[in-house]
Amino acid sequence: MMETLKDKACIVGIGETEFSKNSGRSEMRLALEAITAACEDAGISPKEIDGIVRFSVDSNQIDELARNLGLDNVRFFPEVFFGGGAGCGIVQMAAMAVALGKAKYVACFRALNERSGFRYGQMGGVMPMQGHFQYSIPFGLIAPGAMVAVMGRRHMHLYGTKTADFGEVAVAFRKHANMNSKAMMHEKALTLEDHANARMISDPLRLFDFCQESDGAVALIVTSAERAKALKQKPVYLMAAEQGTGSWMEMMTSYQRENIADLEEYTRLAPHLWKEAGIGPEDIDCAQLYDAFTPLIIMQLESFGFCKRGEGGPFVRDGALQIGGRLPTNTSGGCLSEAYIHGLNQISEGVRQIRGDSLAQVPDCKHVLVTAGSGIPTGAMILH
Amino acid sequence: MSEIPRVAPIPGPINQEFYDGLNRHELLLQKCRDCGKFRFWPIEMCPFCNSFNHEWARCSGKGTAHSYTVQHQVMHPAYPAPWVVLLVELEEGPRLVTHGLMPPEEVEIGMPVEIEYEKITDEITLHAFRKAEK
Ligand SMILES: [Zn+2]
Repeated sequence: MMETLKDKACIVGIGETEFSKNSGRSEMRLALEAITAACEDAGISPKEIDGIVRFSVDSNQIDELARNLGLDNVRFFPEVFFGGGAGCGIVQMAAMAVALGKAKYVACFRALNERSGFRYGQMGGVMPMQGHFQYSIPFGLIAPGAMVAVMGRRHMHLYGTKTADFGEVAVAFRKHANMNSKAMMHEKALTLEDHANARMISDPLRLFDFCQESDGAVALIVTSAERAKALKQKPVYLMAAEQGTGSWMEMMTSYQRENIADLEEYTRLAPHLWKEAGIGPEDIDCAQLYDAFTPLIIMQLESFGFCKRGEGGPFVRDGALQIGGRLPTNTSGGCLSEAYIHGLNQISEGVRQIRGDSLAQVPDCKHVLVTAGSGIPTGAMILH
Repeated sequence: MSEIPRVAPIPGPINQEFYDGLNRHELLLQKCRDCGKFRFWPIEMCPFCNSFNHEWARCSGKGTAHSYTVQHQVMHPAYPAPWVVLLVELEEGPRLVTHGLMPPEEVEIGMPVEIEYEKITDEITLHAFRKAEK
């Protein structure tokens, strides 16, 4: 009995709506558009879906999705909590289900009117202060970006990381967005000077250290490796998938852990991920890393072993994350410059890179690392 | 108190002692009766030794700035910019997110700080920290 998920499941279809500041339609409509587009991409009928995995925070429930799609026997319908941290976890759930024969075609999706509806950046003013945010928001630490700024400032203090390093991250992803006609920032150039001169929001983070706020949806179809061979697209195999947490875990403010500049939730899942895949960071051709805020990229590079702890700043310098650099990252623009679809848009870009049809294609791209949300219980996977 | 009240926590059974302490200008944290370690924020079990036994122990109110941010964009009208948020590491070990009562240009990681109290509503007083006097 092989106790591994390696190469047992594939992503065979991807579907996306447009990404905008105001979709003008319901989150249910967005989800259905993305799911049916993913089915068409895969070459299956939506009626063949017998599993759906959702983000717990998504407003669309399984029963209503099934009614709309006309599905009369959905056999598998778990969900994963923790906002953007669910991104890779939902695919892992789907992969395990198809590998064990619990479903044939599983739809994974995220649909949100995050800009025109509920904006996470504004949550501080409206949430009831009963959970753990009562220990941060009442003191003026209100938005997720400010919570990450506290971690970024500590990283600068411990390791000498510079705000210009954050700028390198923002500029690299913007360059990729400039190549991607779907990206919300497609037509807007960004230089290191623009980054350094931008409005300060949460010191040390300036305007371009923050992700987009977006309306839109992305869906994926997952099936078994065997079924995938008969379908329309080149199968994209799940080489490894993991979920993880760190010490003193709490959403966005895990400040009790020894090193708050260490995204332990990635650090601890990474060895399991590399072991399942049978490869290491040196084998990754392209990365799609969750980038709600720029410091999170620098910390992730350290957690996954692309560089030593504390050396993420130097690593990203001189365009290392750009096409042609040593680790092309977020090649569709990421959350920073393409759209904030809770990282699902980064999974679909990872699929395109393996298929070979990205608008910012990495030559001979064999292995892609994808991560889910940072500073929360999260996940990661390797596609090939 | 400002005209627009700050966001106030809603105390519950798990943390009533913490807020009652702040109202009396005392910083009380959970301390394990079995292994003696402090923890924050209030939770049922000691994560070090898994004991349910704890007391509410008074802290010195002294610590150092472990990290910080200065909020320049107003996110809520009761928090004018620039607004200093400190992450304070207490002498007892746990860290608190708190309001920094110093000008933004004086904030430094490692600076010694001491507790103050800010009354937010009739029911709620919160901690804040200023630079420690030598
Ligand atoms: Zn204990």
